[in-house]
Amino acid sequence: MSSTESRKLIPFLAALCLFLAAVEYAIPKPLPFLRLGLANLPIIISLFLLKPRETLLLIFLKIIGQGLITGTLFSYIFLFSASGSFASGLAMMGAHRLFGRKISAIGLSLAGAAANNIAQLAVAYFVLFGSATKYIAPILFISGGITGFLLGLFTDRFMERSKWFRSLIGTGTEEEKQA
Amino acid sequence: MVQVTDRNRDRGRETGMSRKSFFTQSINPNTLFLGTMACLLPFLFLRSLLFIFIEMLLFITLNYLKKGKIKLLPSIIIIVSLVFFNLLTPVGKVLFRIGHFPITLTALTIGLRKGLILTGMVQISKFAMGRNLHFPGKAGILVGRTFACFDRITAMKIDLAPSQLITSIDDALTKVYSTMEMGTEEHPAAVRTTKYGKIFLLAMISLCWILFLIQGINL
Repeated sequence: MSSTESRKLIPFLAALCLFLAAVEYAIPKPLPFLRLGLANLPIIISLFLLKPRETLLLIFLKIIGQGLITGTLFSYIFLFSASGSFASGLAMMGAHRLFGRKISAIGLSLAGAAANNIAQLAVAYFVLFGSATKYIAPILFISGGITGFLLGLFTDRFMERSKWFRSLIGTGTEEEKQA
Repeated sequence: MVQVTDRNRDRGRETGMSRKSFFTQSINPNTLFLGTMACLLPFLFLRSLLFIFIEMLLFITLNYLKKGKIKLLPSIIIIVSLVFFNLLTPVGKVLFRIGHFPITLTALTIGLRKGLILTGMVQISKFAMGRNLHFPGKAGILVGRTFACFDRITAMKIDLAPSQLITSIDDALTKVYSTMEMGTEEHPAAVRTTKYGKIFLLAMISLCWILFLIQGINL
């Protein structure tokens, strides 16, 4: 993908992250820290379209944008969001690099969800809950596993059916050219 | 007299100068951001639960005045869950027991402090943020570009019916992406901070620092 196309795609995918985060914000949740992770969908898509450092920039924009939109940029919640997003992004990038086309969006999403939960539990341990973190861990891992699977499934379907995604792949990422 | 730009005056005529518009028409978003950040610092170092509570209430009220509505339930859930999880590790004097479970003073205080600080930080952060806030440099340009795209995506009508979800999202993305141009994003005309805006900011910052200093001399 050309650098001009990337410069256009990165803010676009970041905006999509914000839009999906806003959709998720509107969905009622039993506990504030339980999340569906809809905003990770563009990150998974970016793995197939962008270079790793561009994906990192996208994650940075997602974190800053979410902090600005929800107004939590200068709070512990931002720390949770930033650590979770970076850990999840790095795990998905690592899995994608390691397994290439052998890993589906479901696998990537599950890897991201696991890393996200581990990072957030670490922050929870050091910042808020201390040893009581062990009581939250099972709920987070179970809910993270379920939502990670569902998000991966949806992303898989989306990438299969989306004309927009296919048109971008058609413009030729380095990976696509090699394939 | 309060100085307003023509654009702001027109807007004021249309909507009437409400409490909500005071924050958008009388204070520059970047100045509001910096002023509120000046309040965050003393808040983080408050030790007194009462003062933390007062400052948290102050910013809840300011957010209500700024936005016209506020969701309190998530904040209450956060405070209650933090207190609950801290009570699971008993520390300090036993106040009373629920069955065999001891409710201890130190654990209760720590949980309350964490809950109030977290909620207060969220409220301060929310008050500091505005859609017209612009960060400088390349990162600022990228963030601005992201928000420009976000506005276009949110303006699209997306059918959220499960059977049409993917097609609907796909159509919207194709439409927005194909019409995107990589020019400079237009920023709305900058609002200048009026005299009343400055007085408000000074009062807000002073109050936060006074609470911090009073605590320092242990009154």
